[in-house]
Amino acid sequence: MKRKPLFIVKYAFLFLYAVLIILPLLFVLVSSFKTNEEIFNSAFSLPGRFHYENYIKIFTEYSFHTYFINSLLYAVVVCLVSAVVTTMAAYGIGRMRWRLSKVTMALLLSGIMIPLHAILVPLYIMVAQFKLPNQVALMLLFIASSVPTSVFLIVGFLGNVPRTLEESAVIDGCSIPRMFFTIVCPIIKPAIATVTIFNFMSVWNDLMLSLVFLSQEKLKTLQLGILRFKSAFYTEYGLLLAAMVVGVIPSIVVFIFMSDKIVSGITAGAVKG
Amino acid sequence: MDKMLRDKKTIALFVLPAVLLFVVFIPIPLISSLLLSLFKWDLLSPPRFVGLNNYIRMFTLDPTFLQSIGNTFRYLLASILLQIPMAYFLAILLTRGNWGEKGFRNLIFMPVTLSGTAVSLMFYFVYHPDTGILNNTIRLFGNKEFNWAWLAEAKTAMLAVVIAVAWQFVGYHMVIYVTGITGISNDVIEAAKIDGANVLQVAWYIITPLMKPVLNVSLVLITTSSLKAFDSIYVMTNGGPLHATEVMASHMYQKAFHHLDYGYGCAIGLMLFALCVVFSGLWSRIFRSDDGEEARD
Repeated sequence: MKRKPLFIVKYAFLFLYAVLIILPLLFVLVSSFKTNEEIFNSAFSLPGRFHYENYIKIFTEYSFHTYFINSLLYAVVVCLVSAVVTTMAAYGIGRMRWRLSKVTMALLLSGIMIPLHAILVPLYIMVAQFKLPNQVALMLLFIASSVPTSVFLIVGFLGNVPRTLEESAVIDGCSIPRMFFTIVCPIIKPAIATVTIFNFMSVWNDLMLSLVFLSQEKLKTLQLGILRFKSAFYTEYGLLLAAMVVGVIPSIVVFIFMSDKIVSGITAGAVKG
Repeated sequence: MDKMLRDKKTIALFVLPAVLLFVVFIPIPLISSLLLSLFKWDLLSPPRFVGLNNYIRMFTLDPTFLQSIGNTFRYLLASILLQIPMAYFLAILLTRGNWGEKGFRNLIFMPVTLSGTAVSLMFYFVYHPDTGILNNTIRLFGNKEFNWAWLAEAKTAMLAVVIAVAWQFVGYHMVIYVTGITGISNDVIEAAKIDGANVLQVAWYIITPLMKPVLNVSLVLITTSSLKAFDSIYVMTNGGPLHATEVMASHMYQKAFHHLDYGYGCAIGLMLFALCVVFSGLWSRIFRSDDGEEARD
């Protein structure tokens, strides 16, 4: 009985905090169904009628789907390529026997500290000089910057996997690359899934790199697409809000299905590292 | 098996693609950034060697840069003060095995997965002087004429931005602490309780010392991410009003990609890098010397 008042305070605080999290999101969602006049005149009221026009308009008049498809394309390509090259590199560093494996790992890990801000300008100039298509350069840059953390996480995971399965496969006459793809990859799937989610989020949520590298409208990403409604159509808040909702939906989907993986990825790097 | 794992060709096949990509896109540009920072170059006319002038200029001829360093530190300090104690408090509250804790943890973590752009825009609406929920709430309960433009007034702009960022990232640090706390053996906590320690004493005397390495990591993370802050500023205030929220990253972006002063942009980017290294080292030192003190007791 002594604990009761503390209990009430705890849950009162938690519910208040939960309201502070949910309220702004709900406000955006509800307002995105309002007309511009409703947004301005009655911030708290529900829309008189659910106006789907905002949503239809961003797709029909401002071809918002182009941005959506671009972001999806960049994210999928980066996730796929990064998964293949970083898993292979992690196996090469974690399992294969060569003198410089530790040095290579240290080199890669040093990359975690380097902020992209410090290398943004040379990258921009490099891409311009080599006439690399900008969206390709952007994807390569995302893949390259995913290498340190991905390799680090997968090597860590590999360390806890016993070698017996690999050894018996090799004794049965399996080559190393084949054994890697048929035996090792299925075992380390959880680690691959974790790094893939992180890569997806870093591409999907990026602003600075896309801002620097993508100037052509037809190549722009979703985040740039959303911002377009802030600058050019300054007073059309309904459209901006609808674009935000569409942009946030994939993040929410990823969160709903993958939150445990995301949390384990963050803490694997933070608590054990 | 061993022999096959020593095969140079296989090793190259596995390791080279990732390492080459990494080297071409991260260390090589870093070295060219060091070189470029010694030049004045707009990409239109040939580069002109200026030695350390870009660095000297930062501290003598560019008041906005000095302002941006000050603002970056304010951003950093406010982020630490807002996020770390709140995240720690929530983590302690949500690792006690009571009803609904997992649900609250998930909800508080959820904003982390959203894009910085979306969250910043959302708060752009929260703070909006006419239609924002903040001013409308104040108008509902108090001053009917209240019309403060949070993001457009120099007094409140930075704090407003930092609160929006905290809304998003408290959950990030909370989950790190939650994992740290659940990793602490229950025996230690039970023993303390038997000795008569209350909730606060357990949190302060038992959990906190054991959490030092975790706190260290989370402080390094919040420091580097605050020093690099760009999205929140770019979307909510774009450095304004009158550079009141200009941070190093937004200033670098302006100088390099709007004023086409690429060498100078490199120099600012490298200063940012240097600050990240210095601060990360500083945190590790502070936490290590604390450990030493304990050993001496």
